[in-house]
Amino acid sequence: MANLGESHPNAIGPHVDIIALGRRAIALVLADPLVHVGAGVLLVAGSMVSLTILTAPLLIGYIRLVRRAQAGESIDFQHLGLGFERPVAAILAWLVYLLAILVLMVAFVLPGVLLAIACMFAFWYLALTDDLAAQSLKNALALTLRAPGIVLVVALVTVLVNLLGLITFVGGLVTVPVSLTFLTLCFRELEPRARSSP
Amino acid sequence: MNVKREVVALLRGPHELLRERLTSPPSWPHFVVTLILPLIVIRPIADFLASVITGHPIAAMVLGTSGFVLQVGCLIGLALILPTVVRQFEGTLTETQSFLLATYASIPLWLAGCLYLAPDEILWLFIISRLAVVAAASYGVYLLHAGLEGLQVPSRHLVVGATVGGYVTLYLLLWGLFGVTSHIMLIFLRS
Repeated sequence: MANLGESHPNAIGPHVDIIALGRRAIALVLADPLVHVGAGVLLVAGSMVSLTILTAPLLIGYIRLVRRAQAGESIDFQHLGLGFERPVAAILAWLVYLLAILVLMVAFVLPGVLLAIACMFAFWYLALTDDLAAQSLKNALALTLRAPGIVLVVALVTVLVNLLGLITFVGGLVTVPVSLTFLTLCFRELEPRARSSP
Repeated sequence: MNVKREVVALLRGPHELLRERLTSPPSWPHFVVTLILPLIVIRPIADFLASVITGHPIAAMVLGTSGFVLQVGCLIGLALILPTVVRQFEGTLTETQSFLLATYASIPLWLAGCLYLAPDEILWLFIISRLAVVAAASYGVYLLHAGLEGLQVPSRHLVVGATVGGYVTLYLLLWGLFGVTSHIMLIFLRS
């Protein structure tokens, strides 16, 4: 009979320092708050006006904007347009992601939530590694399977921060860019570690 | 392993029980069948009965199933969150220890599931029953701390605080989604 003591030694997976990354994300946003807050507002407004069709290209644009900021390059609202270099891949990945979640939600929510969290980094693969739509979803799933705990905690931190922001409404202006910057920093730290972990 | 004995031991001497279980874990199937399953179904059954008594059999099925999936989701979530949070504070916790600790910390909340039999219409009874559920959940937090103490995990207060924050966020997220989905499902089934 299998014993509970037989635990896989690498089950917990790779690790990133969430507190340090959170601080770095806040510092990065505060270094150029106007551009970050403005880009965050444009992202949310663009998503709502386009009925979420433009969410993925705008999100990818924002992720690339953060990459530029992290590299010490100048940033501007126009860098949101970087997400429209390959809009078809982004929109298709978004539609597949959304449809899969909606379908799985019917099976008593939990499978849909699991998939939403498991594939959430697909857009970071699209933005930062130029993956194709299907490959980005597969890679995001593989990343989560290698590091399920940290991906879940990162997702919950993001949800919590944005819930707090939404309660005050105006807080959302800050929490949206901070959480997207935080997710970008987490991805850039976590992805190479997950890839090299056995 | 016996449910009654485990629950009594958890109330009388939680430190001893947790130390024993975390150092010499029981077998998987036995643990799931004899401890987790009988306790995790208390709230779904209470939700089901409460709706049946008030004459809503369709709602009873939807709420009962939702309640079960919600509890399972929260258990899996807590077992995943715990080792990650411990690692943030430079400690280590194996997958097994995390799953066991998540289970024992959830037991008071599962037992308090019977309080969901209280009808929502009587306001004072509703408030008292929900306060009792919160009190039971608080005892679960104490058990979590006791388990981490037994494993000599560093920065236990911070670990427990961060874990509770993560757990509450997960619970609220799932609860909100279940609420929306259950309503849509009920409208669909009634039509």
